[in-house]
Amino acid sequence: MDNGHNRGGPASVSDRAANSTAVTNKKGLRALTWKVLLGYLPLDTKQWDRVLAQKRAAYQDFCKELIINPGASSNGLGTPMDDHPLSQHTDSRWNAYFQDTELKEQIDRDVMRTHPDMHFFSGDDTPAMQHREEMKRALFIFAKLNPGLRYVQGMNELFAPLYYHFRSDPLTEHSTHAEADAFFCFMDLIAEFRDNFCQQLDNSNVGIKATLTRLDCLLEQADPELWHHLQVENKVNPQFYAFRWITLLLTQEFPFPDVVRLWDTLFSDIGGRTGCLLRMCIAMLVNVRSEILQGDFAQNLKLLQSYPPVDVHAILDRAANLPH
Amino acid sequence: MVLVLCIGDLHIPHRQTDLPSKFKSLLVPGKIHHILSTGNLCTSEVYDYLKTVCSDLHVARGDFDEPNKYPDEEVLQVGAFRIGLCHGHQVVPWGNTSALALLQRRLNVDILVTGHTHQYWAEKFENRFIINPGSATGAYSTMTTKPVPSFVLMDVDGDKATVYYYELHGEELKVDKSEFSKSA
Repeated sequence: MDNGHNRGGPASVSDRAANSTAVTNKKGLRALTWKVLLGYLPLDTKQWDRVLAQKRAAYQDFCKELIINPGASSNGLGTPMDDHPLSQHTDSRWNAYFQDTELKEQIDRDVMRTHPDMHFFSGDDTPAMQHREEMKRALFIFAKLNPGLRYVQGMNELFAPLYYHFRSDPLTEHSTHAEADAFFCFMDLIAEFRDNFCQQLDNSNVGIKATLTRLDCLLEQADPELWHHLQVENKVNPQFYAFRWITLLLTQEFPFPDVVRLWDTLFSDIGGRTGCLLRMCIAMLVNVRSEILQGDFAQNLKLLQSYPPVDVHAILDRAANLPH
Repeated sequence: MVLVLCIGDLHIPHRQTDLPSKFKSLLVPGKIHHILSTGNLCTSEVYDYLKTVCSDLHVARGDFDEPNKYPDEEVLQVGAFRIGLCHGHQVVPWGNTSALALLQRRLNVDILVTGHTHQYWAEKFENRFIINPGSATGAYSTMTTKPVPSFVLMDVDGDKATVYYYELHGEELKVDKSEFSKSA
């Protein structure tokens, strides 16, 4: 076992999971813990090296297979008759390349806007540009591998915290593979929340609308007075504010370090992450209870769409005390 | 990867009514990055059409274009290549390799795109490359008997250029390609 893997054994990880406490970020421990919590690394530490090597190699293969370089393909063999840049032939690599371009542009637009306040993501210096390139590539591979979902705006916001922490891992053997690691962790994360992103499921009983209804019911149970004021008197539908809370896992509501703290708890709730997320949303609502009860439609909408700065631990405490 | 379309000598409406519909269906917007036109568009409608294919349009003045509307010569940098553009009626003898090489040395370009002869032609000369995309409409010419519609598309990738040559024989499209590398 190399020294990189002795930072937190499975015992300490599961302890943390059980207590739902914060993960310390000493020596990149958070990156490691997230990898375990998201199921990317197995609980058996002995297998870590093997799993990592295997997954990282798999990611390389995805890149090779899915990123089309049309110019290189036509070397030597193959007649240019069917495969030239203007070809509209369905087998043409050039045609496939141009179809991918649209997707790439969409991802590019969103990645450029990801955390413009952080030097890690924005600016013209080489590291930031490299970080953006890697994020774009990983999101592109994800979209190609999940044709049912493809890329949906907002995925960049979910990918960014994962990638940030894996990339900032003090051990270069891990940070150089941040892209592949973040890609697989993102797959695991999205597996749980993918129905919220799927437009076809919007009106079904698993899509985003169903989740919003669940939130509404939970609020009614947790705080009937608050619910009555919001929903009946103000007519502030959860769709107006909680849509973004749920789809983007609260990334847009709090400063980056706070989001990371919330995610520690969220990831620890293996199997019940949606429930955990909804409890956090309820806690956020209850936390600004007195303001909501005084406000009208416009005031409350404004309040909830740009949530005031608060101590996230207060929210987490409140969420933990809600019935599971 | 940058795609550069070389197209010219359309002579619309004097010698041909329009670009062949087959070419029009190939030239869809959103693929091409630059257009280098060797001139003789003759009308502003053709210019406007080429603008819809790609907004980065460079035209050299042909002998049937309005005087002073376009420059006689233009030089652009694409990837590692300096590319020169000139219609070619100013270079005598017309279509002569040595005469064109003289122009190429004066402009100091790696690739010279020239027209006027209505005949597709590409040649490597003194480690430089001269391309004539021919006439995109296959317009009548005093120099070439029975010209066929043709244009050229270059895929520039760093210091390597792949030249795709499109030619229309009746209704049948023929595509050929060759490569040119700056170092080799």
